Amino acid sequence: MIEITNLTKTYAGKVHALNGIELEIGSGMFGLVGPNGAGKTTLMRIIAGLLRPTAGSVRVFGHDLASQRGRQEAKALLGYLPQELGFYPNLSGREFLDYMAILKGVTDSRERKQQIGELVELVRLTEVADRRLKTYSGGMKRRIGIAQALLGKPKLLIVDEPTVGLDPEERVRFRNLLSEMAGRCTVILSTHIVEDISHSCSDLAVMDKGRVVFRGAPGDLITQARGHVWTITTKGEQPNGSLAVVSTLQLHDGVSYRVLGQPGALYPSAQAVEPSLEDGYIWLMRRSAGVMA
Amino acid sequence: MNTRWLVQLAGVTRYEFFLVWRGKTMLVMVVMLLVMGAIFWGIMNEGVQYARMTVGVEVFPLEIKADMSRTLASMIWGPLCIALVGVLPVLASDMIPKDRQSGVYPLLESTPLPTGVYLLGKLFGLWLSVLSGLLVVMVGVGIIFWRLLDGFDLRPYLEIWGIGAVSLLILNGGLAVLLPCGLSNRRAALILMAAVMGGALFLGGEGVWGYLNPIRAPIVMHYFTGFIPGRPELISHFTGRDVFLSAAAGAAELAVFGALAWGWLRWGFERT
Repeated sequence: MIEITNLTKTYAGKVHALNGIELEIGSGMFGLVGPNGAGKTTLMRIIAGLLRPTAGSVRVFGHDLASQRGRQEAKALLGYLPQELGFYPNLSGREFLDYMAILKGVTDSRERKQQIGELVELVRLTEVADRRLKTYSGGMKRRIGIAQALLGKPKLLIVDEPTVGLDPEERVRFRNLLSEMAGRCTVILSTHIVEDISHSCSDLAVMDKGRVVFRGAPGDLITQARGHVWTITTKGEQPNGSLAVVSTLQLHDGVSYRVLGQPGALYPSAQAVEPSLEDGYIWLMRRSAGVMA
Repeated sequence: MNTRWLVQLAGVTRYEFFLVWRGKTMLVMVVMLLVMGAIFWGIMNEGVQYARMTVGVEVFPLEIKADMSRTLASMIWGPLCIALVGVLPVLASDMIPKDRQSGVYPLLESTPLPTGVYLLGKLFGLWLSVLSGLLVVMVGVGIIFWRLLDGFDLRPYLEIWGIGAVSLLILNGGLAVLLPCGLSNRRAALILMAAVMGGALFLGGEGVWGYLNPIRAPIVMHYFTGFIPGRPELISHFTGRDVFLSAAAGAAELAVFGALAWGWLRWGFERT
């Protein structure tokens, strides 16, 4: 269980990254979604014990992150995949994982070897595991990063934008892997790819400008947009500015737009459609920005 | 220390050892020193043959051999000093900044790795890797000299390596790891160490400051000039006692910088 109370983070220069966050995150998969600059990475880094909050408190499985001891104990339970991942280019993938496993406190060399073998298999890097990391492609580096986060059988897994750089098949595999992990530990998945959340999370929070603007199940977010999602077909002209275009599809005799808002009398042929999670998210963000009532 | 810390320390040391060796600079340094040994052989060989003819014996008497051994030992000391006082501080300066620049540091910070273990692992990794390189050079150059004189007095040679080189390695290598530990840029670290060592050149090597100066004049000069026999004008006034005092002062200096580096990294979280 992660308990976050009145969490505030202000960077030098009075940049308010987090503003009074209150969250309780239980076991299973928790999604954190929001636009760039919403404060997701700051929140993740605070939960991972890398960043000191300006005010408020965070407890990870009962360990208070305000104390050095609490942070050390929480880190022993943690698997962390940062948004921007660094490597030692002159180590092989297997050596890098061994190094990380040692640092995470997997002291038994046989256990390390076994875990590394299983994880390189899981992320499909067995054949290149002994190659130097500097020869890896971007996707391969991402996958080795995922493997290191899973080392040491963490109780809390924090993954920040994990699917960036992965091909579609790998993304699906990784989502499934996270869902499987969520059966054994708490997973916090931060992303701006709503699709990743919709396929794997039963609980989510939407952040904007350092605040939590929504907390609930994906279904609840979808419900918020119900009755506000339409398809409009035109000869090519853009829909009225008060409508938010979610997607555009070129047809042979015109253009079909998926829009959020109320087309009203301007578009009598507009058809109401079932909202998706992405619609719900965009609806919420626009409402939060005061664009839609 | 508990078991986890010991395993972590061994792990950081081991992988830093690999990283230093795979960084190429170390290999270049070792090869250059071996080449210097070979060059000395080339220079000295003719003189040794001439001396053999002058003395009129095939095998030198022991006292002449001892003198020549000291001369040879002090010859390799010059390049060794350049490597350990000039090159090593620059080679080792990025050991911690590279973690930040490459983005590995947040990963390391997310593990339960204590700051002290991290710093000690970095130091041990550097010392072990350079020590292994020095060992290769010591044996290689030793064989060259041995063949040159058909056996020579090993004591001055081993003292130069065992006391002189190891002291410079521990003190200057350690300083190069600890001083730039707060920087997050490899180039800045390199410039800092180059400036520290360059600046130290102008600050003199006498008195207490001489013992603390990272140029380590008492150690460098004792073995450089003090070992050449029969040349009283070159005999250094730095004695074995000065070597000991310089090493002790350097160790104290290293302990102070170690404590400062530990504090800076440990309370890095409070500054975020």
